[in-house]
Amino acid sequence: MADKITLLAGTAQPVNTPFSTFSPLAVDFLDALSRTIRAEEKGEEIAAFGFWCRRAHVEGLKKRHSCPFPRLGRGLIFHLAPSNVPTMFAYSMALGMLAGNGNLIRLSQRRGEIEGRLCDLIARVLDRPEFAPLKERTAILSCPRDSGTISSLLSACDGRVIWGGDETVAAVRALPMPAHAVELAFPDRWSMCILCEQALDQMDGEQLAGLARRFYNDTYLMDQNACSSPQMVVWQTGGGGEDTRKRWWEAVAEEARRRYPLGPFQAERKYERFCLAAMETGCVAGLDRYGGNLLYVARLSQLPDDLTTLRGGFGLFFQWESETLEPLLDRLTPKVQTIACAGVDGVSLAQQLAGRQARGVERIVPVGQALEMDTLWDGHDIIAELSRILAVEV
Amino acid sequence: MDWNRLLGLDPYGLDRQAKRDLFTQRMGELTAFHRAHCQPYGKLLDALGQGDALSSAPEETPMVPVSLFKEMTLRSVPEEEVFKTITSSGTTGQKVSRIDLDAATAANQQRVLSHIVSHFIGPKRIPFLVIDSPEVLRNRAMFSARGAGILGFSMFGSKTCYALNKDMELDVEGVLAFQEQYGNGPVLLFGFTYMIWQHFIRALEERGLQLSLSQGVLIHGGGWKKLQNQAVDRDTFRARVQKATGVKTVSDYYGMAEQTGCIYMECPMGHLHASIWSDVIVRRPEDYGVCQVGEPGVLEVLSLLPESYPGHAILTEDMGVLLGEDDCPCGRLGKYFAITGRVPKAEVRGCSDTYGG
Repeated sequence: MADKITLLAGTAQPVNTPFSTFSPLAVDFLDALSRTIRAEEKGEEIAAFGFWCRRAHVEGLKKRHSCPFPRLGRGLIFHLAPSNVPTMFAYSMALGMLAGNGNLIRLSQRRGEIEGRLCDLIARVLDRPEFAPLKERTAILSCPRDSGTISSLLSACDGRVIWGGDETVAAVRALPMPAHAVELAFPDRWSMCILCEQALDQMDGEQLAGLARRFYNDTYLMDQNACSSPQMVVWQTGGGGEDTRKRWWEAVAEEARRRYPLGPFQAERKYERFCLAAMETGCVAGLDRYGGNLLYVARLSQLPDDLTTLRGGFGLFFQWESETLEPLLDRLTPKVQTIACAGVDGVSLAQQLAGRQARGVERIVPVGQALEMDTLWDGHDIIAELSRILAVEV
Repeated sequence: MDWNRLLGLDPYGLDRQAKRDLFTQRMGELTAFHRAHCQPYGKLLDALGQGDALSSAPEETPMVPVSLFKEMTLRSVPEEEVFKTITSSGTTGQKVSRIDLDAATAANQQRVLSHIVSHFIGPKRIPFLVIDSPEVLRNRAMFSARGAGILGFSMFGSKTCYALNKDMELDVEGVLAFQEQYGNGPVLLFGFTYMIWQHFIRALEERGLQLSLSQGVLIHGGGWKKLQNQAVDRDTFRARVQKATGVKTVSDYYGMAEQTGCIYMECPMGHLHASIWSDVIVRRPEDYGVCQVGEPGVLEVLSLLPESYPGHAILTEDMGVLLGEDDCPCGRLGKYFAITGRVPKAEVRGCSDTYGG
């Protein structure tokens, strides 16, 4: 079995002795990694991870997760990383480390060049003598997907983190773990964006372009395939109009014209998904194209019963307008994850959702932050769930 | 549609204006028919803002992406009128297209195929050598577009023989017996490009066998992707086929399960030709505008035939280039073009499907 496993960084047999959460060593390591990345990396994805794991940001997270009791990692955590968000494995590893754990991270055998570069950077920083205790607790490896290999890795773990589609989650769930082990699963999710028409109406060209740039980062950057990427744009109407919406989409198309590598593949998938949604939901009333095949806006005549059937992608967005968000709130299922918004007060929206006992939505962020990784994800406090509190009664 | 009149015409006998008139009328008819009889298609037209006033130009006919036939069943006839279902050949694990045919559409496909192929090999049935295994028709798991292609072409055969055995190995005795019996007259050889190369030509070469089917015609289809991987181009393929079999006429064709029947045959100039029953439009990926002659793009195919499913205007996943219209040196009227490859698959970014590989 061992010969099927390729070690990419760290050590083959990571130990399961926990650290305390946000241990100074883990924070130092992530900051050193951040510095190395920022000094050497030009690629957008890796650079974003490098920025995320810098000391200032991690210290902020530490503050948020402060706890009056001693708190330790659970031991050794197994992570199943996605094959097509190249940097996800590194975020998952960082979260496991900050929670105080040793980490065993399985990468797909189909991993790409970005994963390879990031593994090398991690391996180099882990090799520094001051980080030896972390290297002892880290294994980034690649192995076949057969359940035998994964099972034997899991048998020594105190928890697992599964990033992936519903099928992956179901497949890995079927594999046994020690009784005390915990599980965090992140299945397929669906996300949307809410824009306040009045707020956008009052923006000048520059402000609108800035918002369009952030919206692009939430969507086109990952072809809207990320779970937290908006598929639908909801306009809260009143105080703007048709013109506002048109100006907005033109600003988005302009951004896409500058940055999006539109080829025949992207165009065809976009058109296909539009056709599929039109045929399957019957809720599409019209299509507005901006910049040829760069941007498709599918206007909805009504909301389908299941919002998550509206699958955008590659620059296809479903658009719905309403003065009130009530009909939308009635349709929130457990599959709905993130609401990115602009001109909408996130705090009162969250209160409104809680007040209505909504079944879905676990995250409200300003436009531009939909893809930003957080310790609070899918309604989980990842730090809390991957650590143990040593409760003391005196 | 007056099929009897239409099928009496020369497959390559309509010039640009005459063909345009025919397609303008028929595309409109088919769009209206499918809108009324296939509910999802109607919803698509509504979503595209296609009013009841049907557009007059064939290039304005709403396109259905070919992949949609893999995602859902699109049918414009009651289920009990389905005469047969054709599935596209996909590699293992891929989704396949399912095309439901009623008796009329299936019959028209056969007739059109017959007219096109007869134009190249003559009207008489001739001995037929299938460069494939008879298992393709016996084994349900293998039966698909490959089997349908063989069945479709077997109507031109007076006597059918198979060149490969059930393990896809060359049946030397069978092939030599075929040559012995029919080699002096006209014969038809048919198969899929890659199978012909891998299991027939190379097998003949390895054994040092040279056939002499000098009055033979070899028709092959199915695409070049696998041969491109082996760096085998058109000229190499043709030359080696001619050397190994003695066949003089080697003709590629382009076609798909979603528009069975109206295949695009290669003329002696090496150009693929649209017959009067179907047409191609090359479109720019940036905006799906129509490309000029010589400008590569994504291929759309139009067909007059599909009545049982809304497949009269299909956006394919093939890239091609229009070479000209009505002016091929071979003398055939209509558009002629070349396939340049498949729409390249880009890496899909996103967070689902983590376990695979």
